[in-house]
Amino acid sequence: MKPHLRLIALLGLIVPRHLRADWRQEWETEFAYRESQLDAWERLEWRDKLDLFRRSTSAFWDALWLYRKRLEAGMILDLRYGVRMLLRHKGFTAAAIVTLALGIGANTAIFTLLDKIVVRALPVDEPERLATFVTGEGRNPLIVSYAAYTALRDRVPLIPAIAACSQWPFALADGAAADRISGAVVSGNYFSLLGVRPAIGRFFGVDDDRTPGAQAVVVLGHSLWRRRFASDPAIVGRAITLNARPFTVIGVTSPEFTGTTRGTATDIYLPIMMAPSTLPGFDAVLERPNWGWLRLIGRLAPDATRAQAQAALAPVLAELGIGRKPAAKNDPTILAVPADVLVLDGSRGYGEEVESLARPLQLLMGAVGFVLLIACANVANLLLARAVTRRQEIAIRLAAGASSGRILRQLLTEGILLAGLGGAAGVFVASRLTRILTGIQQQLTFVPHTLDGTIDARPLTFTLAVTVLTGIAFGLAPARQLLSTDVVCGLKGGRGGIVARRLTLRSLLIVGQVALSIVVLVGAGLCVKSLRALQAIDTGLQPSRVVTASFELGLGGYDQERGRRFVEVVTRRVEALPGVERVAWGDIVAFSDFFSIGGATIEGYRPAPGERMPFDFTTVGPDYFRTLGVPLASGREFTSSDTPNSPPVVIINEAAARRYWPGRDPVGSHISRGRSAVVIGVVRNSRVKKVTDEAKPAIYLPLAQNYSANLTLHVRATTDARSVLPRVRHEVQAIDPSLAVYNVQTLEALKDGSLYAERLSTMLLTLFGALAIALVAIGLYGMLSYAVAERTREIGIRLALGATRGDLMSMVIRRGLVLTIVGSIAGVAGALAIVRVLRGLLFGVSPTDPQVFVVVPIGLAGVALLACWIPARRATRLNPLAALRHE
Amino acid sequence: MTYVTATILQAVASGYRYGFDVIDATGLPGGTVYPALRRLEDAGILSASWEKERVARAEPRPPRRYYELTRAGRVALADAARRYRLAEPAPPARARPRSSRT
Repeated sequence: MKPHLRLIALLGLIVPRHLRADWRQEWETEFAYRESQLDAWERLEWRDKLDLFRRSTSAFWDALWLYRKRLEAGMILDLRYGVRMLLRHKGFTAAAIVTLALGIGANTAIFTLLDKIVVRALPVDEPERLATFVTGEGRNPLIVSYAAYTALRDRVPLIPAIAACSQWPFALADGAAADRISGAVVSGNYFSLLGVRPAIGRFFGVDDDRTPGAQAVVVLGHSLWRRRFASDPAIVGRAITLNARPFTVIGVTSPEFTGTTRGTATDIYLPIMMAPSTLPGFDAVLERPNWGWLRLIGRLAPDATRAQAQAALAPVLAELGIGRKPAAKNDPTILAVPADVLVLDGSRGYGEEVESLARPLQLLMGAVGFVLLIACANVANLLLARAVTRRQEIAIRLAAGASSGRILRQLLTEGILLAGLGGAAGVFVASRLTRILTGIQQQLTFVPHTLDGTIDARPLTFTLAVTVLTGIAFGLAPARQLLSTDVVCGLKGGRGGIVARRLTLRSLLIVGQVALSIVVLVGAGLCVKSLRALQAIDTGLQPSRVVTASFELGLGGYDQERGRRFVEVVTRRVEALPGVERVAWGDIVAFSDFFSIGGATIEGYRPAPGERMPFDFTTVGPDYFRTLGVPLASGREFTSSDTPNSPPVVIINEAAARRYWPGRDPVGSHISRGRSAVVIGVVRNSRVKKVTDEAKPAIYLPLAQNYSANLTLHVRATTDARSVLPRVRHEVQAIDPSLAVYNVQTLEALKDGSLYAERLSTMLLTLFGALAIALVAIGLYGMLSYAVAERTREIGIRLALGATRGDLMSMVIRRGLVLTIVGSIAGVAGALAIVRVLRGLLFGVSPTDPQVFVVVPIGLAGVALLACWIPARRATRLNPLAALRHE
Repeated sequence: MTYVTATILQAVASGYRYGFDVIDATGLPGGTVYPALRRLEDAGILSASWEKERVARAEPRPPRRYYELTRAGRVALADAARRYRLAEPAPPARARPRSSRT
């Protein structure tokens, strides 16, 4: 054969079979035609022969291009075959997909939150050059006055740009209803410093932030724009009302940028110059040099390090008079900035608000990682079991000439197909789960924080990676076993020599699953005990049957006179509602961890040198203690007879009484805080601030003598709080629809909400623990069922030789229990090594709590016993004759 | 569409309807022309069919596979011609390749 035609014949092997004949004919006839134009082959010059051969080499590229089609065709075949296999074993497929969906979904959901709260940098220009400023040993965020901010702003050349921001709640009125939203008052250079771009409209700049009250402009957060304004493209230029003051919308942030507090979404941004006229009580905020309210974020010069910036900052702080004590309260020569300022990495913004969630989320990420491993082990186990039934099929394909590479590709396609379906269902599970996680978050903090739980590209990439990896693992697990099948033995349907090895691998998988689930279950058990201990704490009040509703009258533009009238009207109308026993007002939201702390002097008490006398101050109305179920130790409650004109009075708690009047009744004594007031009563200690905090000395002031614009209504119901809740909500909204009302909740719900992080960890760990135990049971059951099926003949022989059914049962169960016990020992050892990370998250329970470490393995063994019993019973019911004939 | 693809289309439109003829007319390597022809055929810009048996038998040789522009191909070529300022398609001057006969 001529060399160029031989090459064409050879290259034709690359071309897909169904195209090969045509392909060869096309090339061969081209050469035949060319030869006919030249001369008979024998008479051709060597140069023409070489030219023909050179031309034939280009057929390689043509064939290679067509090879792609061959791959595609193979892949479609593999996929079609894979789908058919999955459909044929519906039970197996459903079990595998549900298992994977739960595993992958839980991972995606936790990763979504963890990524936003702990890992991810702000979506801004060069985030690594951002710096945040903290102070003191506690590394609290540096909070400065406006004067201090402007003094610092342009003084440090290594930090050429510093922006200021402050988070506040705002009342957004748009038509009839008002919403309480989370807003940020930011300096004019905030957006340009960060280098973010608006989705529509524009951001305000330094020029919009020069004159107090001049530029009533606002930038909307993307999520508020979508939620509240249905992504209206004509929003720019529209007027909205914030805290009863008109503002013009000038732009909307991009969906990625949610502010500089990580993990949360800010709803609106307005210039600092609008703070005095918008934030209630902030009229003089810009003039007061010691009124700290702004957080700073800076951008370092391109080559500057944080250490250099900090060194450059120190002399500026000294020059500004930092560290000196002001002679008078509002001494304008002294700026309230602490001397020990540290410059920290600001690439992820500020995160104190969500810090409490970081540890539980890291912990949960570990737990869901374990659950995914258990799920993968389970699916791998199921696939290994199924591999046995496919032995003959694979042997036939190998005998028919399929290469092992081809079989491997088929198995990988099936694995990835299964994982892909599990991953897709997992994204759905994740979206539900993040909604639950962000839905039950604590809404009680003074500044509302909306957790950002959007599943965006990063978690999806994570899911995709997890899915592909699990798919490859699934494909490869049975592949190794199947490809080592002895073809002849496989064709006969025999077991070959692979059973023993496969069982070892499957047993190892079971041991691993048991060990991992013990770790997860121990974690869950400890969290459950800890949560129980937290819930059992006597808070000193009776939260059942109490409903709350909070108002920020200042945000609604109420002055003191109008505020007092509002309180009277609400009291009268809510008291008249059916099912309401009693109504009272207080200026705090229970369990919100927000308190006003201050000092006071006690007449007749001589403090030791350097003794600090901090008190929690709370302003409450008449009947407050009776409504909340806090008993009086002595004296009386505030009543309607305590008026602005009557002598000033206070009530204290037992903690204060014990410390400052040891062994005496303080009723009738005087406390002074600006003006002297008589102690008229002592109430029992209550933990309204935070359930884990010991009660501190507290002073209660009467609302009539100390007006507060931030008020919470407490309503005690005669029977069930939840039945009164909608009526209270309806009534208070009807009185002034333009006033934002929040925390319309039962006090029980608020208490539960304050334990958000603990409840979240416990709930999810329990859920994942249950999932783990279910997976282990399924895995054990599947493996033993398979073992019984495999050993049918052996069981038949044993029965024929006189084995009792009890012998057989114990033989099967023993096998399962041995695996469980080995796994449990490994799991307990692993848990003992790992639980140390829980320290600090647990309350009232040791990380090595013996009860948990005993109950969990026993409980798991019980479930394992049940999973073993079903296949064991099947073994005892075998007919010896049929079993002997089995093969 | 790349310039190379436009050149190949131009050649086919000019009457160079066989792979080797297109290679000769454009001067492009076979490794470029053939995959391009396959791609254009897949995209519906070219259609390929076998030469009539009668014509081939007259030569005599097996029938060759020839390519022609579809309607979409003509539109695509017109676009490409405007973009790349290609010359009007010219019919092939049926020059025989260099022969070894002297």
